[in-house]
Amino acid sequence: MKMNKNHWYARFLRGTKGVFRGNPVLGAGLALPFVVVAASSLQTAVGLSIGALLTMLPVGLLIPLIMQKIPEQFRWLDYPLRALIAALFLMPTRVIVGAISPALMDSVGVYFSLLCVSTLLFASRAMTVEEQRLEKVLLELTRLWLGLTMVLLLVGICREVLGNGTLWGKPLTWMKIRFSAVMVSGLGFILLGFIAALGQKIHRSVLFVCLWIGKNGRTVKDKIVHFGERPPKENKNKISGEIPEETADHEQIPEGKEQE
Amino acid sequence: MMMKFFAIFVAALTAENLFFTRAFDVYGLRELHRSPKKMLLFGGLTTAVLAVAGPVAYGINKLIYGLPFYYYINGITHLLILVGLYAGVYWLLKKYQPKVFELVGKYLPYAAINCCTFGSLLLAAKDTELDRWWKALAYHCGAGIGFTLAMLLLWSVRQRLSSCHASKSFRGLPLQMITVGLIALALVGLTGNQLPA
Repeated sequence: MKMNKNHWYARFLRGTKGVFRGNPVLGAGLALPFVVVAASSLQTAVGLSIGALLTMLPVGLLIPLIMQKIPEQFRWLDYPLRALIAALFLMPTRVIVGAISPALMDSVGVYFSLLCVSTLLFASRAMTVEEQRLEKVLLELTRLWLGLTMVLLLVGICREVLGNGTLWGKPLTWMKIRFSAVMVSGLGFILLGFIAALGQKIHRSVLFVCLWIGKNGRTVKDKIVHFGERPPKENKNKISGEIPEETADHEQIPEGKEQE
Repeated sequence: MMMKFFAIFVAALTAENLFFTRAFDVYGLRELHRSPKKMLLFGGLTTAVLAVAGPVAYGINKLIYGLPFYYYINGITHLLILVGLYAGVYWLLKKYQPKVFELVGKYLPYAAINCCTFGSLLLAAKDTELDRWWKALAYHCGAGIGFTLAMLLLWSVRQRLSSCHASKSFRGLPLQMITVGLIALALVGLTGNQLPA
């Protein structure tokens, strides 16, 4: 399915590249440990999201500057340097994230330290390595982070509500059923699979509606109002050349065929 | 001793598999999934790195454990071990074994510094049962081989799913994740989901 590049939905997808379309987690399966295992509540999701932001942005901005100073024969140090700089920035980040909730760092465990070797960090290198302008790099990294954050929050909310019946640690009185198995890594994978499928379904549905509107040549408002209604019968009859339904009878033979 | 070594090795290989129970992943999986040979090479490198770094990390962890800032320096110390190992192997191979370097040089950074190697070292540092260097070695060897097998299984799942008729929304990553989740659930049945965080 293709559409005009000036279409509003195409422009929306281009503008939100990395967040909705081309999401690093739902599209490429990056940063799996954080989404599948560590994001067990909204608090941990927020903590991990802050941690990811405070490692990705400084690394993305500092590494190009450092690599300019390093001689050509030591360029292979680019990869470990990223991890080391991220690990350095993780130390103060621990204090910031720990301030959100004292129990947060315990529940995240080793996963917080893993942010410095996250696949997203190395994927951002591949995306920004040829970009010269700093603001473009910053924009690309922000998009990647927003994409990760969106999925982290979705998974965190789903797991906390379904598993503990709470949200941000506060009990939800309307939530009577507990499904604590959702905290297990296996169901984390399954939940992520369903979220990715839902994302694809929404994208395909919106694309279908956009193309349908464009094909029939009506205004968007008219099409949304009439969406779901059947096309008028007279148009169908005009095209097929059959007898109108009011007078049609299954046993009745059309005039043309009778003559034959 | 041998029985204990074997028990830790098998536990790390199956019940505490780094991919299925902890979801540790590596960068460049998509490229690796094009051929199982590349995956085996990558897995072999990862296991070798873990086998060497594991006992070293065990010794260093003994030294720094109990320091006032252990909580903050633990991560960066283990990362420095991996970076040092990577830099040493890279330099040695390039200088003395250029043919081997041509073969593995491309994968070396991704195999040496990733979630699997770093996470395995951090988990072993936290685990009080791994109180001997050979126990740490058994754990890291099992973790490396278990991760390689998981990658091969994932490749096989991908191949099979690509030829099945699935709903358009579920094609690709969603179906893979659901299949991996089902395998992970089967493994969780062995441990009862009581892994340390």
